[in-house]
Amino acid sequence: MRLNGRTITDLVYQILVLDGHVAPSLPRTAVVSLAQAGGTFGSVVTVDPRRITVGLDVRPTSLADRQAIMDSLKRRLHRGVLELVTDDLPGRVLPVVCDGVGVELYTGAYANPVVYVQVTFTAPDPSRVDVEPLVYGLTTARTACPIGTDSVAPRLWLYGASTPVVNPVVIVRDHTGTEVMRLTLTGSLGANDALAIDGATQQIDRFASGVLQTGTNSGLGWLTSGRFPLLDPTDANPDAPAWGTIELAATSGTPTGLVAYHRRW
Amino acid sequence: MSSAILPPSAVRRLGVPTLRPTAVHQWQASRLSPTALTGQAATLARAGTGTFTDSGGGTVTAVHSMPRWESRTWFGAPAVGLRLGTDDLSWPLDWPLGTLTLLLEGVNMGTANTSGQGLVYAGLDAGTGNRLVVRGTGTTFAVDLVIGANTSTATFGAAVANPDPVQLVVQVEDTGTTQRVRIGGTDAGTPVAFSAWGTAIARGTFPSGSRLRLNRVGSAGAQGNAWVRRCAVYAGLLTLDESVDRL
Repeated sequence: MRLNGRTITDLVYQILVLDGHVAPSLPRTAVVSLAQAGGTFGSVVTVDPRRITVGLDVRPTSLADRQAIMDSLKRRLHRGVLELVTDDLPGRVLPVVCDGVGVELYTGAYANPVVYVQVTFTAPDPSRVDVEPLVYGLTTARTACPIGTDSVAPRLWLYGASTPVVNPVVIVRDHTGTEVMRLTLTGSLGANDALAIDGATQQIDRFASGVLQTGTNSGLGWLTSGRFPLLDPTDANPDAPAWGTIELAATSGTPTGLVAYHRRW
Repeated sequence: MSSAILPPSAVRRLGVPTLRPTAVHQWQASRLSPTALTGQAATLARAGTGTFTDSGGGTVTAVHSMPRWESRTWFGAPAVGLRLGTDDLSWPLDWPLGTLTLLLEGVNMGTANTSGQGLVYAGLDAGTGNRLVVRGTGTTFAVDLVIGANTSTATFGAAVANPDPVQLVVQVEDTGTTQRVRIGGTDAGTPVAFSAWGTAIARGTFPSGSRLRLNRVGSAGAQGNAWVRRCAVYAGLLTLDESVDRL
């Protein structure tokens, strides 16, 4: 187990318990009760935060050493958001916050420095995220975007060209080819121009020769209609496998770009 | 009616918790941002287009100054790094020149094989003043700590071929009166022991306005050719195992 990339085995003798990190987290749809009728699903979907419990066997050499270890543990645990990586899935991280530390004295003897420490973490978003992203070039052809088990809001870069790309459009389709969303922009991307679109923050940055454009020239001013791209598991058939796709279009010119995202599980 | 001055709140943090690395500088290409995790805003510049390879093996052409997030195999698994050729990535340098460890992970695409090409540079854009330089020697990498007219130099203990994955760990030791450097890490997965310490020289500090830069020495030096996935600076002397993956 690593916290912010660092093991805690230098502080503890062994990790006895690691619980709560394996179970799949499923979205829960609200249920609306109806009078004299069966209830129905509402429009609100939530996921519960994940709670993880870690039990540590700490074997200090003295009471002073015990306090030094507790101080070190506190320094590492109370740093805001921590990235938790477990040994069974080293390629995925889970952002957590430590919200509890309990210390139990073995046999209740204060003079015995050996203690059991129980640390609890809360992951507000229960999904784990790949450490390494996936990056795929985009063209006017459909580009398959493999995802995990949870939805992903990707980042995109749209590139200009010497023959300007006018009014670029980002189109997301499901694995059958049915369009599920599109983002329509209004503007002209020249040879040194680019747009950086962040699907998570719903931000569009416009760059001219690498310089971020602001004010009336900012990228968000290009936003015309549609939705920011979202790659959703319901648009994929991982058994095939067949994935949702992203493609680019434009009124004129040949749009190209890049999509990058971390799969979520 | 009496009043009392209460002690300050024991919890003074405001707002939501955020990721707070312990490094003084931490940049990871896998975060898909040139900006460092430790907050230093990046300048990424490249005149003209540049190509790179995506996760599907396709070739992508990025326009002027747009990052080239290239997928390559890193220790047997796909990983994304920033491809640097005619590109120039730099951050403000806001940490002191003291006892520190600099970690750089990437693939040598030729920088080590060209003498004088810069891989990592900390100092003034002019390439003058007190500075820390990791450069190619023609066969491997070397580190120079230049303080005034004195230089402490150490050389990586393995020949670095193209395209070897390398993990470079540069340590700067500051005794309070002198400073010196050494370099170790791995080449193509093989551990490379720390070199001998370079000459201990009278200590110095980075000049005001210094920047941390990848791929060239100063803003006008010869640009290297590399794929970089991580650059981090930690206070203290850390080994490779202690510094890899640590935030």
